[in-house]
Amino acid sequence: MQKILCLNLAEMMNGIYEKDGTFMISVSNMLAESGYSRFTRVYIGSSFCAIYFLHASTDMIKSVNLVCEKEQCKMTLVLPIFTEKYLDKAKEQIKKLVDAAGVYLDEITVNDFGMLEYIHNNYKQKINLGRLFMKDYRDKRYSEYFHSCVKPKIFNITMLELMKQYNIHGVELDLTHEKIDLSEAPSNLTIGFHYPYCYQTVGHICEIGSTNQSIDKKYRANYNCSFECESQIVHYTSEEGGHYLKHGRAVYFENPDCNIMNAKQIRLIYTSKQLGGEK
Amino acid sequence: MKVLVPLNQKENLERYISCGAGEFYLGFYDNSWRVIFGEYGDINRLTGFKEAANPHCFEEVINIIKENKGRDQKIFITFNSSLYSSEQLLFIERYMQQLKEVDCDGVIVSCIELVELAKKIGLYCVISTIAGVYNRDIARFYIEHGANRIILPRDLSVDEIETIVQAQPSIDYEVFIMRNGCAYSDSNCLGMHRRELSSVCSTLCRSEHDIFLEEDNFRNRHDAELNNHVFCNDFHNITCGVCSIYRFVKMGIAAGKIVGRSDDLENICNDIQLVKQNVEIAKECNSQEEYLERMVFPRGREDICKMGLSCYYPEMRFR
Repeated sequence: MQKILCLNLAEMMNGIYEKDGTFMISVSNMLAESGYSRFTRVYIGSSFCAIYFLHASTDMIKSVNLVCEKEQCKMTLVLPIFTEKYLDKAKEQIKKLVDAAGVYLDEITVNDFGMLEYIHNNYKQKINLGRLFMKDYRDKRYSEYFHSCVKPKIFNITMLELMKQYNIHGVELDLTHEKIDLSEAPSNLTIGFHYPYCYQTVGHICEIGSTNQSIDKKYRANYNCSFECESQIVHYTSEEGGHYLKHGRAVYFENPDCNIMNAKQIRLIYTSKQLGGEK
Repeated sequence: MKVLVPLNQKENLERYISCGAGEFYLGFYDNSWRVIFGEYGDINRLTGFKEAANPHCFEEVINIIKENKGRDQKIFITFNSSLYSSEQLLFIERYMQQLKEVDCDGVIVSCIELVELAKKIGLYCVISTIAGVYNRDIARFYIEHGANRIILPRDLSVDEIETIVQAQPSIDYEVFIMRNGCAYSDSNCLGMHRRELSSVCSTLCRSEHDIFLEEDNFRNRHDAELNNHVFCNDFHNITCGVCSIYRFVKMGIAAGKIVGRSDDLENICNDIQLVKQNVEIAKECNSQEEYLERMVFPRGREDICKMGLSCYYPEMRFR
């Protein structure tokens, strides 16, 4: 199976840009960390957090453009699920970011049906279904289940029809089990796997973003934050499930040894270990 | 606004009605499904709690529906596991056909695949919170595919709920009012819900925690650890939304949901009476302020009505 490396700057891009003012250094470090010699694509945006997505600036996107120009690669813009209060702002922000990215941006990843319809009707970029569409349960606490082989249910008969209807280009998946069988995935779809972190849970309430709020304002859904996710990570170690980490709103576990079966080619959407606080 | 209640035992039905229940929802187990799809193949989100959450088999559910005919209270059947395989969809189609034959009031479904099935069979289709209808565009998508009612997520604000309802007024809406909170999202929390280890969030809160800080000093560590401690120990231990009932009544919400398919009878009865009583008060009130003055608080308010930590909609009291 051929693996094509893509670098995932989503969830980390704002912090990197504010610290370095450029993506050249971090991209180079991520490539070295991955063990690959080249990458073909960078992912920007966020799968999980509307506030993080809305914070991205056009200057930051232009800095990603420089990476794309130098590395001769393309860009995918990842959209989280926006709750009602941010929906209009999100549409304005998408337009700004798409315009700023110009020719480098050829794909948009959506994570809900409302945004699928909106992007399908308003943008010419190819559309991917993001990792929030893959809703197979994943749970390391149940050894028998985790060590089984899963056929992702997103390739059921109705979803395949819907993918045709919306001319879906690709699907992003997580490394949920010990083995993942892609025999039901159509050969014309581009399949990407987020690596090495599998997301376990996520929500619109952000524990970490509540750190500096008074108690009566803590843990409110989609409430203002000071981007504490860029400087704080919570690690959990449990007898039942082993190690988890919380970065921003999402909780992840690592599953780098997952065996992907019945695929000729996949994208590896590589997230730096810096997500878990490693230097 | 009717009070929607989990029918965890058919023997409790009359008691719930006498307390004020206006609608019911329930799931079922099926040994033939378990044989084919295995121990981890869920029919609904609480299949893993076995008979504690789904005490009745499908045939019993069919009988409950038949026996309920003639009553005002509707009964909805849940199919709200996160996603289903093609083989599972075929199985569910057969369940739905049988439900249609007994004129079932509706099904609660978690994904677009089941909306299509319910529409094809002609069942009233309720979109579960597992589908994650977080904005008016997602609502429109499901309505265009055949949804008759949407259960809005419990991590939306009351203002957001009102905007969605006003933007897509052609269907019914349901909101969470009582009992169990969720610190993540019903639609994208993908750990198992099972009796052995319960939910992932409870495992995380019981785990050893190690907080990494970019700038590690006493103040930052204190604030982060306190925040984590409150989140794991005091947030949404029990959850309530009765302060928002006036707003929901005024915006025409069809049903207020009490969750807890495996919870204790007396506690559910208390919650039904509380919500019913507050709905009646809300109907008599002319303003939110008047309602907040007159409403009845839940039992244990001295413990739970503190700092918004047990509120579905904390902005009602803590602006």
